[in-house]
Amino acid sequence: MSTLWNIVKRPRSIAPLVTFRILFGLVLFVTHIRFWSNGWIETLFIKPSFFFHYNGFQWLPQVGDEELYLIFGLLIATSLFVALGLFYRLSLSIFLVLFTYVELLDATNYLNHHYLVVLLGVLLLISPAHKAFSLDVWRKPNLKRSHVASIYTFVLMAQIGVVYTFAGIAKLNPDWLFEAMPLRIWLPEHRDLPVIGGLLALPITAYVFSWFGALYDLTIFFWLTQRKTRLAAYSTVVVFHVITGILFNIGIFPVLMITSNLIFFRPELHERFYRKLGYSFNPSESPTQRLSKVLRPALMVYFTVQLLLPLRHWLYPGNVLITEEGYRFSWRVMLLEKSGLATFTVTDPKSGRSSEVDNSLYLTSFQEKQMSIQPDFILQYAHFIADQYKDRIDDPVVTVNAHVNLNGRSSKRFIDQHANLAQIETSLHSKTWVNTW
Amino acid sequence: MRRHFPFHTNTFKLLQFGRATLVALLFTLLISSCKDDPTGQTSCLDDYDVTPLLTHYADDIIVPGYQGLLKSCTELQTSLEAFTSNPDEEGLDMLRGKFISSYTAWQSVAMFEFGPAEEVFLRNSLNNFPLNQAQTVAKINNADLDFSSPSEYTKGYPALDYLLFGLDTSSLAIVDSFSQSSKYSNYLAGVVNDMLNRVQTILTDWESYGADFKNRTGSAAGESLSLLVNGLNENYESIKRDKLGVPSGVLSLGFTNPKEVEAYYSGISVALTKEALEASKQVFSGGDGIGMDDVLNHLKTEKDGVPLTELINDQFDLAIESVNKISGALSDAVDNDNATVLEAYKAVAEQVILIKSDMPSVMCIAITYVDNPSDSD
Repeated sequence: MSTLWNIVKRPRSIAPLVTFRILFGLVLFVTHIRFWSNGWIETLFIKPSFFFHYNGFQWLPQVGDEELYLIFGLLIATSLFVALGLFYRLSLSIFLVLFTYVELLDATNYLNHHYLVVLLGVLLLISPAHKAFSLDVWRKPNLKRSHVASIYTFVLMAQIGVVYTFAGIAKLNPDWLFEAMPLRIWLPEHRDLPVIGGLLALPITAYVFSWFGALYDLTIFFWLTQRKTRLAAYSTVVVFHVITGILFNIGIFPVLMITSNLIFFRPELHERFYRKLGYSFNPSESPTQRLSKVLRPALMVYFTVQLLLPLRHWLYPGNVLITEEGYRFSWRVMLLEKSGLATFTVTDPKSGRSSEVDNSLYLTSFQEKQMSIQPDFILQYAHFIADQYKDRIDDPVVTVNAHVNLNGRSSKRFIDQHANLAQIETSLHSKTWVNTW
Repeated sequence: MRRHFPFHTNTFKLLQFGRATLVALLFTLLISSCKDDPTGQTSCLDDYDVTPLLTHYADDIIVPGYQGLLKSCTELQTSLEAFTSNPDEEGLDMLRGKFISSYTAWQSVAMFEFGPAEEVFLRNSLNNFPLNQAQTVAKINNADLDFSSPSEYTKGYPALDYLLFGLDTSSLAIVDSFSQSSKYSNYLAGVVNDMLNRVQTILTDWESYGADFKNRTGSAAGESLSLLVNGLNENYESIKRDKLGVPSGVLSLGFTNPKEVEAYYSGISVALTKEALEASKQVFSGGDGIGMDDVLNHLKTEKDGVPLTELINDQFDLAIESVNKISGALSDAVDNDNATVLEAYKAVAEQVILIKSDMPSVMCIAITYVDNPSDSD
């Protein structure tokens, strides 16, 4: 291990990091402008009256509508500052805090690539990516470095490797490989596209996409790290993400990956680009730097967590696609076409009177859709319903009639209809009230 | 200096070892994940051609449905003119008859609230119930004939229901009201005129929209099959919630809401509910022609060993039968014999999972009542 540490301490050109910083900032700058102009601040954060929390973040304070717009304004500004390298560490810190806050507001909005933004942002924050080609250097020329420790570049690469590899492993399930699900549902949706539309409607195409997608995810990190295959691999990255970006509603993910993967290219290539812009990386400006003592243990903890977190579903019985225990933060992407129906009933144990709950009173249709297929949201919502009835009923009993359809199958009941959800506490323990099929 | 990037020879060995481990790990994962296979067939429309189905729905069901509705509204207008020019009991009876047949005709097109119908807010314009009586009376007194707001509960069939049945306690007294003041006639004429205009617009729009509808053969949200399935479901859930659920107190701890039934004043709620269910069944089966049931049969869809089509048809029959058991006006039944109403509600509700979740899922069509508000991954 210490040989590895000695390798990663070696100085390496800062150029790939600079590229990463600029593009990361710009992608997020555009992302938040797009988010704002699509009216999603309104639909996702202002319209709902009830918000789903992440475990352990029930305390999170809500802000008013105006503050929300202010936060998005700051996200737009700070992401641009990151790209420009202006007040870099401060800007990126503010960005990360606010971005994470917004992500935590409503768990039904969870997206793997937003989680990725947080992780890449943290790894970027510890790196001195502003020490060249930045406004900070322009303000304080003493900051300028041409080389920094390799570790900063390598951790970003490793993080990307973790994402791809675990996404690939998650695809090794019978639905994906043998049923070509859910691509067999999603691809034919584009049968109206000119030229390729007819092709996309064919079942065989879904199988080809499924198997190629799994192979791509599993191996692309390796091909990107090898000098001989790097250019071909990167071309594949571009083609793959452009195609998936066109076919699926996956937002910024393709752009984020296409830009991030540039970090795998040799520093000389990056430097050549900046030289063409008239910027030179002068090695004499690079005194050796000492790495912080906490860096090594911190990174070891970080990556241990990254390697274990996606595997935690093994601690739970049943199929993770149904129970979704250990589903999030595990790079399970594109695996599910799930729909469901959850009808809640509140009963007064004393009088026996009961009432069905009209979900549309409390949830947006998007939230309802997410809630009805994810057990932890069903439980949270059941607790919320119990609260709503507390002034009329002592100890209200909340039960649910919940069915889900998974990847083109007919529906199955997936929550014990007799379980009083109001009495079940939120925890990370296996949910015995979720039926394993 | 030549830099080996990013791996040193030692690390390369490490990597090779890592690869072997990875392959072994993946293999284990694959094998062990098989045990969790949630059994059940998977099927999809894949390359099934829905053009004949769409053509049949457009030409034989939807457009004739709106033509029937237009005809009923025209007849309503004719007998309305006859009645208001010389109000008498015979004229009122005639008018009431036309009202009932038009309200009934509406039930069989209520599920096509997309495209042209959505443009003119047909459902909200024709059947926002329960009526806001106070606001309606105020509008009548102010001679306010503005029916443009889809969120008002002062127009369409519920307003006619009130004017023709609820204005006073007896037919004679209602005829008198019409004789004494023209404000009722004017309001009545305004309501019917607004309804007629909207239905006429829809029929005109379908002339061009029809071709587009038949061409949108895809399975994505917004494609025609998805519109039909979504429309059927949206309307079906409104039958469940508004026609039966709210009045019978299902959503209010068993405390009933008799005044919130559809057609409160005329008391024809049960007949309308039955009609709405029968119309839903027709839309599912496509009447005499190719329908959603044929698609499900083509896919050989089964649930727990029973063909899905059979389950859905049986459930429709059970629902209609249970609604039939409700005797008298629904507003009385919810207080006198709510058990029967609740039984009917249950029979209607149990269908939802079959047509809203199972059917679209096995057809692999996207079900969305609204556009996805954000990205997914």
